[in-house]
Amino acid sequence: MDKIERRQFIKLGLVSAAGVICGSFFAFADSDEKIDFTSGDDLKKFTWGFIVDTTRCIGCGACVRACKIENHVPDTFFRTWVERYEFDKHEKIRVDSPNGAIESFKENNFDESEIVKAFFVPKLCNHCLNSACTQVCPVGASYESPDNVVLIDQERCVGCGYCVQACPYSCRYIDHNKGVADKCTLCYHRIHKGEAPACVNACPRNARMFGNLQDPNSKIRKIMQQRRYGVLKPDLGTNPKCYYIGLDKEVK
Amino acid sequence: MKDKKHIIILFSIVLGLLIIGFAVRLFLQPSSYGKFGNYRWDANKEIQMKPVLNQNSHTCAECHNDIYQLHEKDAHYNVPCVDCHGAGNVHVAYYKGDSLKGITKEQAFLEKEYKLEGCLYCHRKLKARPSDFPQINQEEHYKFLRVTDSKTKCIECHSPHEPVFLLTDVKKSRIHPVVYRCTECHDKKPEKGPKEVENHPTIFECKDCHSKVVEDFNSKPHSKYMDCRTCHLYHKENETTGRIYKNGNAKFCLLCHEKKSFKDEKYPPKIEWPSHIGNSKIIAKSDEKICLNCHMDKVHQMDLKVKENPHEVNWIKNHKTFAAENKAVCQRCHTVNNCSSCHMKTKPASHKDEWRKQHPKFAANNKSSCQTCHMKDGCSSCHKVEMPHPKDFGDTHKDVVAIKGKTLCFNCHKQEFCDECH
Amino acid sequence: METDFVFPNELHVTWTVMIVLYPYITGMVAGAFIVSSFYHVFGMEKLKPIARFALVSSLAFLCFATVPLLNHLGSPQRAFNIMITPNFNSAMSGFGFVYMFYMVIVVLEIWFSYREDMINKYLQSHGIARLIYKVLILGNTNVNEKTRNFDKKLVIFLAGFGIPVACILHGYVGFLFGSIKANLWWSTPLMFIIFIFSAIVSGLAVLIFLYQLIHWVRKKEINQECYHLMAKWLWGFMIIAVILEMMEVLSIAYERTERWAVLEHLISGKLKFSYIYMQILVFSIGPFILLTITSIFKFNYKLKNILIWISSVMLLIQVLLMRWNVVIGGQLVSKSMRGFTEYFPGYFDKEGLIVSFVIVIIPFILLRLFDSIFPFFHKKKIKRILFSEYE
Repeated sequence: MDKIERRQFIKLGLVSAAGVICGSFFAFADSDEKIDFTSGDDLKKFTWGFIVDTTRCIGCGACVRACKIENHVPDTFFRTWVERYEFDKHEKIRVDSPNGAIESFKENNFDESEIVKAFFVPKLCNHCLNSACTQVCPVGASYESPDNVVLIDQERCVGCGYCVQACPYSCRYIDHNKGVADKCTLCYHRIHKGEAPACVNACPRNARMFGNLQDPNSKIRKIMQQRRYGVLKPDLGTNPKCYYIGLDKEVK
Repeated sequence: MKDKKHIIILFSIVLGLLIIGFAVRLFLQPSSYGKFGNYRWDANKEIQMKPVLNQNSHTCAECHNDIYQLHEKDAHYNVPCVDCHGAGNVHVAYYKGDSLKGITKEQAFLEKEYKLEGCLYCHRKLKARPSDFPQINQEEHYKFLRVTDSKTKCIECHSPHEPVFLLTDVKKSRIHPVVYRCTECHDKKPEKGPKEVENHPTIFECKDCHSKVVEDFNSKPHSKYMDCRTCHLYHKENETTGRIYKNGNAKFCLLCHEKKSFKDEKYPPKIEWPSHIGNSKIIAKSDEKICLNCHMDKVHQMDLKVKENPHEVNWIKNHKTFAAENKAVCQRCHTVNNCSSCHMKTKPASHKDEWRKQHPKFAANNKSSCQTCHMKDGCSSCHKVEMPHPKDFGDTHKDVVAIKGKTLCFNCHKQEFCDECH
Repeated sequence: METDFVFPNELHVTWTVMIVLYPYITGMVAGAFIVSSFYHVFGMEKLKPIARFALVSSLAFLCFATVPLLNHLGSPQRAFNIMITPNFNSAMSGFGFVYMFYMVIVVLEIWFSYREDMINKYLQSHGIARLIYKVLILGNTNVNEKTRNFDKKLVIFLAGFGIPVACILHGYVGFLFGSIKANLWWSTPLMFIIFIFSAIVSGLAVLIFLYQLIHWVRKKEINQECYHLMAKWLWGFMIIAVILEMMEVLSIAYERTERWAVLEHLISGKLKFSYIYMQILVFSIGPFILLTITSIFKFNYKLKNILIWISSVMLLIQVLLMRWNVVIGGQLVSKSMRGFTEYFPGYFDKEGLIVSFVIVIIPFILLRLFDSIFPFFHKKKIKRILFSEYE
């Protein structure tokens, strides 16, 4: 090969090598996957679901107390509560929820020896995918966020109460102090800061879990693949995202 | 046309009002409305901006790590700090010097203690609670423990961060097949056992696997008042398995056996703690299984795996009085020949005819072994002279020979030995 | 009931007696308008005497239709949000627009109906009254043959166009209730129809009631043909309305779906007095018998008038009771299907009984006021400059 040609060849080789190296920085560089929770498009990557394990709940009411404090829930109204079901030998049922179980339960309803089956069912907003409450809000105050959490814009709500009537699970109420509707927000102000909702944080028995249904590796998805669960009032077509493990036929 | 004038005017007015209405509406509509749906998008951000009140336990651990570590190891590991101590946001904000201003120290104070009712929120006995969850009927519990003052708080016995004084990390507890108490199915403990009744479902009983221990336990005093699970805390995970804790922590024993003002004085037998082991130097205080080291005979046989010599340094000299009163305690380890294991009445096998000649080599390396019997003067009990000889004995033996005579030397050395120098 | 359990949030009843009054008032609005349209659109000449009266009463009630709603709203200051950011998926979102639209139609129709009278008054009055009338007639005093024709045609058009609007105005409430699948007592497709027929009944009843009452007070004679026709229509519509209401409950009872177990207890328990005894037995069967007698048999017309009048009062009460039983009754049942909550509106509360009474009475007072502006029955012999048809 000619000297000049060789020089050119080497030059070309070096330049292309340099180019490849430089280019690879861009090709293989880690794209910083930071999620901006104020961006609607980023939020769409999440679909928040909730699991209630009724086999684990002990009815202590820590969740109810934590939620009351966290969200300034007014007296006699509840964003979450715990119900108790007791069955006696003669298939009689007694259901109660004394003050939403905020001070737990004080005693058995039937005579202790009569009870054959009994359990607790914590309840909260089911954050339905096809929620009746967002459909019926006349002013667009009740809505579903891009990450599928049902929320209320309390600046626009007029307090008509239509959504309260429409919710089949009785999760909503009118906050008389503010004159607007209110309900469980899945602690929207917590979940985007890496914290769990207040009730999930407070539960000493891991009876409440939440997570991103779109992430196949999330804990919630794993549990849904392992356990059998049901939802409340499936016949109404609300497509709720709150799954109850160990749901009994008598729980409405 | 003139005849329709009034109609035109009227409808124009109506139309005009309509247009004005639409314009006003457009003006009043919030800017972010309709961005992602029929709602005001800005509302989403507003809701996200609300302050977090209930704190995560990890936040508490940043300052209170010692309590947190203790808490993580025991049965309450899953109970978050906020359940008993409240939300804690003011407390954290104050001590971290964070966003909230104008907080006083009083406001930042977090109640340490939760009222009695607080423990009962979880632990009150209710039929709806899973049978394996620890729950008590307060009256019965106090009766069993002979607590005389009904207003006694739970925390007088149970440390809230360490309620059952587990020795092993609770998360490392062993997986164990499920074991039932009779009362989990029956209202009262039935008279007959499961094997004595026809068609009783086959269940695991402790004695099925741990027969020797159970047999031993049944012969000891504790069996009259409790069953295995009272001390070996069992936690059911599902229908077939659970986790079990071995136990043995002195603090656990003290739950029943420590003298307290609110408890019955006499029953069960009680001691003052820690003065019970107080000045006695014979027991290493850092040993968590301290009670069992001496009192295993009241509970049941167990392999405590005491690796080191539990006795203090001068035990051989000081054990006389202790041994005289507490022979049974010695027998805990010295099982075979107890005192004779040290105090031999017969010569050990090694001490045969040739021992006199052979023993110097042995004695040089195992002096302490000789001392188990030849206690008083050690070598001097035979050798009337310090053994081995000190280095300068070559110079100083003169005085020894002068006092004690040559025959002492002749016990080991022959005349020829002296002649080598002299 | 095996057990008595209501969800913790259900201890408070959200839709109070205000929401009972709202469909009651709009029912009368729609009913009165439709009666008026019977004359204008369907040409029932016999109803001419009350045609304008019906129209004005419709307006009077319409003005007060929103009062119970505003009183009930948690944030009434934001009431206009319903028109600024309406969510058209909601049955309630159309309310603002339909209400306004209907108001425009009624006002226009009244304007065209009373235009001649207003012009007469304008020409006869002095001072401030003259100025008011001038504004009302928009300064146009053109009253010739052609304009009268145009006016008439427009009135007919508006009356015809207004019927579906009136139906929507009141019917949407029925649809709203019927479409709430979560509520065990309300959820039925028939609710829209029931409300409309019930509205026509209440409209007819209030017209009959007022027509007779006003003429008794003023010691004037009523138009018997008109009155009896209205009574017959009332009888007919009342039968249809009650049958529809009964069929709705009967079909749930017959199908014995899950909700029947608790609704059975609702009807035989909490609603026994107000529904079975009052609404059905006393105030449905009662007027039915009375109206059957008056419609079929011939006898002393004075007695007939009294009986018709009593039936109209009873039917007014029946419609109110029906609204109460639907709205309040539906909220008494717990969505847990296991128990009932309680409701009493209270006397002096913001949404209590006294306020309710005032809200119901005021439209009647307003109507009396309207009489001086838009006289519906010519009590005085007006010095007529122009020939008017309405005699």
